[in-house]
Amino acid sequence: MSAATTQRPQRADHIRTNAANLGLAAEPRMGRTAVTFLVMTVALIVMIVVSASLGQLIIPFDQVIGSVLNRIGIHWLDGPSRAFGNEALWNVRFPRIAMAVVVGAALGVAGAVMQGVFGNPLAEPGTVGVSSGAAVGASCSILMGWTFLGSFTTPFLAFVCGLGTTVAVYLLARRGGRTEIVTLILTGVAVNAIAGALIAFFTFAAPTSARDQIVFWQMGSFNGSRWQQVALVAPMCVIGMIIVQTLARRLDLLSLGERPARHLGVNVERLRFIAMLAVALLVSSAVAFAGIISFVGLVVPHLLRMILGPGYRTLLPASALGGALLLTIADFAARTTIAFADLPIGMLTSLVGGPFFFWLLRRSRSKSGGWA
Amino acid sequence: MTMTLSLPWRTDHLAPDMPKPGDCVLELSNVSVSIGERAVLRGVALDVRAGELLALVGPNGAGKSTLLNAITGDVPLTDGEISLFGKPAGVWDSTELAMRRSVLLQSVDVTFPFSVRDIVRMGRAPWEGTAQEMNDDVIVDDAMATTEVTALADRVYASLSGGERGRAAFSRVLAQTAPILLLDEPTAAMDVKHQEMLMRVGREYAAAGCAVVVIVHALDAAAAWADRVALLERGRLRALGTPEEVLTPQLLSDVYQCPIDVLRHPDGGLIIVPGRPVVARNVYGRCSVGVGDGVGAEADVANGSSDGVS
Repeated sequence: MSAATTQRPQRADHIRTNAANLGLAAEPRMGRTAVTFLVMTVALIVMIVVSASLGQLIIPFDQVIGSVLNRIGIHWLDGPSRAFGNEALWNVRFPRIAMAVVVGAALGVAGAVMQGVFGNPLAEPGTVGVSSGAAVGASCSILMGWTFLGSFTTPFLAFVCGLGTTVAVYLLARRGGRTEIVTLILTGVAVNAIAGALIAFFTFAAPTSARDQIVFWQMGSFNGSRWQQVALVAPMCVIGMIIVQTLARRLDLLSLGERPARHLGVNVERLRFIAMLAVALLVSSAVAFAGIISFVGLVVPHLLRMILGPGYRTLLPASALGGALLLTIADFAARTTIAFADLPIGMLTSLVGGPFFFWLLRRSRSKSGGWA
Repeated sequence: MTMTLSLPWRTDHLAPDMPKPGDCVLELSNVSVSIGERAVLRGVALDVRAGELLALVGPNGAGKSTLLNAITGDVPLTDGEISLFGKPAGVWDSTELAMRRSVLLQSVDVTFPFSVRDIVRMGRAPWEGTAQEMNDDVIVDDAMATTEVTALADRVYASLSGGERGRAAFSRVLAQTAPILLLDEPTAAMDVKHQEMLMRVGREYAAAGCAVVVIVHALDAAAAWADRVALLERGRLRALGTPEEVLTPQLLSDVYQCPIDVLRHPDGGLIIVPGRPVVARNVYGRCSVGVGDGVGAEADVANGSSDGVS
């Protein structure tokens, strides 16, 4: 009994100092989160205005803002003064930027979720064959010249095949009602290999013009984005993001490992299936019109995890914002780096993302705790 | 067969009532587990009661961890039944199980740089959305203080030493506030002070009306802290009873296939040591043969000559 009585005040002290620590420790991270979100939001808005303003036809910033305000009934600034200014903004640039924002957000979130589901910082949507599956659908459609859905045929097939490939990988890896991460990854490798072979065959079999289309589809571009397309992609991405946001806390628990997560009440198998389905939905709809854009899902969550910490409840929305920002910048660069040329955006993100990712790895490995 | 559709956001989980001391909270009857062709557990029957600390001991490969994994539902049974709180374990959904039993595995690696506080807070996950949630901060702080990780609260879990991780993981398990505590070799990486801390906390937990099942290799720790000891041997429960009943030199020597002495400490506790030969100690080339209290005759055997001091 004496042991208990001598211990009690000591424990109370612990709690008291701890409460003090809590106040000190919690503040900077919350402040940091707020600042990060604010900075990214401001940067995204600025980037949208800059991107809308510059190009072959230069429309000053105030006229871009004026045009947007005019649309919503505020006549505070003047719209574009040049001929076809409004048309250039609303028919070409804004839908394109909107598409970049939506796709970037989807890819950023999907990457973060994949890393959480696989408990591996190197996982990305491509691991379970979403991108290559979509590419198979797209190239097949291009080769065959199918038009049963008009100009939406190729995106539709890309979407369906991306989604289907992910489900196939999951079902093939499943045994006795359970999946294992290693089996999932290896099944993904096998399915990716088959998809690669099919793409190669379609490319080989296609006539020259279709071959160009297949190759360019795989390099990604927002060229020619229209509002109609954005209206199709955006709801899918929003649904996907809402689904994964409800999984955020369970993804945190999954970081402890599969069994500890289960011991804490997580139905790991169901979580994994829902998360993979949501990722497939996000990525398939993202690549359907834009083509394959790599590295966004890998780099964005990594960078944000370094700044905000690993908690998914903030990491997921931050990754959406970060992905949107990154692709808006990348698309702006794709349009304007070389005059009269529209660079493939997938090429740009890989070109910049690769070395950047390498730098991140070097940096985080040298710190304690390994992967950041 | 009925299929119940449970939505991911289902919240009507049945919280456990605190068991009364002596209630059977965990019952294993004729539990058998085979992994591949190999029978790892064969007909184990065991009841764990509220208010007791049960130590699970046995040689390597005796099936201790498998038994724990069977209780947690991670390993399917080939035969027998496990019931928690009087109902078959399969009746409870995963959250209801998590409200009833917390589990500490031998080692827990965390993939992403979560802080110790984040990790301990994860222990509160089963109570999300319940009235209990209000106490989260107090429980988390208390769990960290109990396991002496308060000072490490803001450190990244992956950067801790093995023993510190063990304490942080134990802290998370305590924060889960489940009436059954299942610990798989929790003391393995800890220093003596924290080994004792952990066992003492386990005892306090049991004294508060919970049931604690702990796998330990240190037989003297089992003797000192456990109410009952279950001795496993090649998948069978060889003996179950108080430490005095189970931890006998004959039984232990037979099960571990190694001579083991059980002595009585003047305080009344058991001291369990392997029967060891008296070794010739070679210290800087000088060999001393310990006899009795260890200060014995010295002989220089470095090169067989006798030019040493005496």
